[in-house]
Amino acid sequence: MMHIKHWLRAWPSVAMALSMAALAGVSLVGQASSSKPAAPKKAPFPVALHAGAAAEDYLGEKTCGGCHPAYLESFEASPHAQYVRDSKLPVDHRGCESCHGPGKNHLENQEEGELQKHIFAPSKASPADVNAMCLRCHSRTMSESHWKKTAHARGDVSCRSCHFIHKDAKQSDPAARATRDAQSIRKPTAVAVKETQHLLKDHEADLCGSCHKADVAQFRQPYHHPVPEGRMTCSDCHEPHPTRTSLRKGSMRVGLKNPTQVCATCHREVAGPFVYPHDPVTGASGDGCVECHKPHGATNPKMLGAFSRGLCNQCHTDKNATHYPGQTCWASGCHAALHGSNRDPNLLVR
Amino acid sequence: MRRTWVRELLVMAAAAAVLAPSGAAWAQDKAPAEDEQKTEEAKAKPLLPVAGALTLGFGDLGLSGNQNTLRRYATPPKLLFIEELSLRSRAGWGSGQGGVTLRGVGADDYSYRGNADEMFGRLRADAYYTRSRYLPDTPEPQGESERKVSGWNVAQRISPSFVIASSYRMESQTQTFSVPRAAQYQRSRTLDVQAYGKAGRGFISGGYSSSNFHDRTAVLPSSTVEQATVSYVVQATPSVDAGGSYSRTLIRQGALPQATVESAGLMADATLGRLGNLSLDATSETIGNPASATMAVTRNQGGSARLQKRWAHWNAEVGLRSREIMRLNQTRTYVDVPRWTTIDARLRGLLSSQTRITLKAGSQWLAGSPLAAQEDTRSLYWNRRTNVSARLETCMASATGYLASSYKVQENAERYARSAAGALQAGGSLQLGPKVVAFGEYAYENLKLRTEITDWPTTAMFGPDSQTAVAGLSWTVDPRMWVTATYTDWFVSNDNPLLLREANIHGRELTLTLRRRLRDGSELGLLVAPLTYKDKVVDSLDYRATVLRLSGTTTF
Repeated sequence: MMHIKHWLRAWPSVAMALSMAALAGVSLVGQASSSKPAAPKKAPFPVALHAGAAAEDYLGEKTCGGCHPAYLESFEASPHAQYVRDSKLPVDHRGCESCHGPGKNHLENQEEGELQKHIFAPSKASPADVNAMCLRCHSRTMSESHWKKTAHARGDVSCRSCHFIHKDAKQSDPAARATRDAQSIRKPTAVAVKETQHLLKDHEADLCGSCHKADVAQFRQPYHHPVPEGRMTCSDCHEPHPTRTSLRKGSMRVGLKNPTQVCATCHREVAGPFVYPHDPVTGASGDGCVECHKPHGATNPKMLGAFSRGLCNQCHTDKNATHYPGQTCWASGCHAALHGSNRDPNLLVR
Repeated sequence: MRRTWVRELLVMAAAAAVLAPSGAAWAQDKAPAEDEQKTEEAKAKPLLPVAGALTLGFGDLGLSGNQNTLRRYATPPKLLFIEELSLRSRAGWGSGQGGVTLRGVGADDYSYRGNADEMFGRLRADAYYTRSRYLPDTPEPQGESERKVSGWNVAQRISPSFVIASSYRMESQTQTFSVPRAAQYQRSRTLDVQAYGKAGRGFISGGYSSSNFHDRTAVLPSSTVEQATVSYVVQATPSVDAGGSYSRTLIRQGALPQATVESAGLMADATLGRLGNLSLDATSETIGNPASATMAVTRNQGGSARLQKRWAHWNAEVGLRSREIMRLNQTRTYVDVPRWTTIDARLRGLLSSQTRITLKAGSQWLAGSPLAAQEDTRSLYWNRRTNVSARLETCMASATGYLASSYKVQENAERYARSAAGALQAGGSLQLGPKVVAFGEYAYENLKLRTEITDWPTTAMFGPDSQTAVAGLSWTVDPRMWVTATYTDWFVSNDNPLLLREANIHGRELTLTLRRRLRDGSELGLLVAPLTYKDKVVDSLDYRATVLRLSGTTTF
């Protein structure tokens, strides 16, 4: 009886397991019931360019540079150039052709309308095709299955939206730099800023902010996490490539985050566990830390949604105007351990 | 008086230094042949294996008023300092590359980072160290707070698709507060060891993390969190991905009993032809926290289903999520099981080739509201949440613009409590001419609160309104000189019945920059930033500053 009750309580997991078993079953039955031998899986367009190529179809960087000298020069300045020159790499992972596909067919099919069929041009390709090509080598950063689970994948964001492959000429173009500087959320008065890494097209905060504009607006508020000051970047809390599991990043589950764990990376002193925890801090009920705090930016120093008693009274309505009127709940020195206490159930002392 | 005079002289000298070479440079712009000749000569020179850049800076704060408020997040540099020194190995030298970047040498805040990639990226390592000094924004003077973060990451690719990686991070903080709260000295260290990569038709990852927290003042107990995780995701068929994960976490804290958290998750993603794409998730967490002497959550589980459908330029998503927790009461005599059900929908698409719209809406219900373990046992939880948001973006050849709005309502019917937060953001950029781009942004936020408290001060009096307006201009004077100006004005208003500090504030920030690139690639920069902060209740928090920075960059 107890077991039945337990399984009834666990209905979401049970439903999920049954659904997945059904999905797997349908796909396996589908494969098994086919009387013909299974056809080889057809690779998507850019990957298929490599799949059907022989070693002599790869012409080498110098041949490409003969017609595309500017691209070859900008590629030279990119760290990518270093990695595709390892002589131990298979021929389809070397030079320009590692990303663009074998050059022979491209060279032999120069007619109008034929060019794009025999070579892969990321600037003209769909996000799905770009990502498929990048993941040929970067599968250790992100598997295709992981990528499908991200909001970026659902929103048709490609790797190229954030990363450049060749050296980005706009990085040093004065007009582009001036426009970027004028619109940036970064405060130029701060110097100890985090370096732009991973071939990102811009400083991380500005790059993310180019789409997530409402979040940028919050960082412009007077109190914020020190992203504009360069002490933090978006990826300190957010994981754009949720492949690995890590305590520090808080991604205990595939594609999901535990917000409370992310906050505890820096704010360990308020994470507990406590003998007397404040319920939202446990993260199990409500939204965890963001139940009270606004993590990007807010109108008060503790980055809370509301000021003083107004915050607490939203839940604790019984602590009304007769409960120490004229006092704040914590700054007056009463509930000093409002995240949790090991000594006092009313969170009066740490 | 004398100080102001000296500052004005400094600004003029700095401007002259930046502009002085420009006249000559303009003249040289008319002789491209000479430039080309120099470039050819430069090309002929053998390249050093290391490339680098050095930026020297001189800064001044020009501060009058409360420095605590100005330095609440970071400390702008003063006097002479190295703004940046970077050294990078050139591509093509050996089988690796790497470099170091030092920022803020000689300033209060600095950051150092070094990285190396060897064997064409099969071994990667980097290390970093940053220090920030800041002050608590209090009216009275306080000692400095300091945060130091250091660490390293190492990753070794042991096959083309399998990696072993390790990282370490140590963060130490010294935080000062207003009297009577004592300063806090704490340190946390995290060590991660991970292995991940392809395994069969899927991707496996597993790892171990250990994190340690230590409070040197012994106010808080030291704690250690250890976690082992493993996950596997596989493309079962071309149209079905499935995976699972498991983690076990141990938490040790002083003399308290050890807490254990076990977490398991399952996921599946299937392409259902014309129906779209279906994603399923389920998680279950068992929490053993014997230290807790009050209400304790012992189980946390949930599941979600999300269907996504695409048309030519449109993308629609509908999601259903359910989560429930099992709470054991303080006396361990009964459990309650609150359950949240959430439905959300999203529609995104192109109204025209230049205009995109995104609409989102969601609603959440709570069933089985738990009793509060207090004299007033009515539930403390929100039992209904609703949110809607819309975003319109347009991008034309010479202009971009966006308009975003969101509204979120939370209600606790048992306590007659309601919170409604609204936000509006609008902004855009406009190319005013071939060399001038203007930019503007406006944001408004509002919070309306209502509870059963009707006596003064009512809850509604603590809901803030805020407005932030930004206007910017960038002007590319010529290919070697550009100017930017950004003005930000923000204010927060609040009924503020308790006359609290930082509840009614107004700030203005103007940032002017001038950059001049010389023929040899060197660059001069001038930054002037008048900043003001005004607290309408506690004026001892106010400050007025004119941050000045003169910098020169050379590359080699």
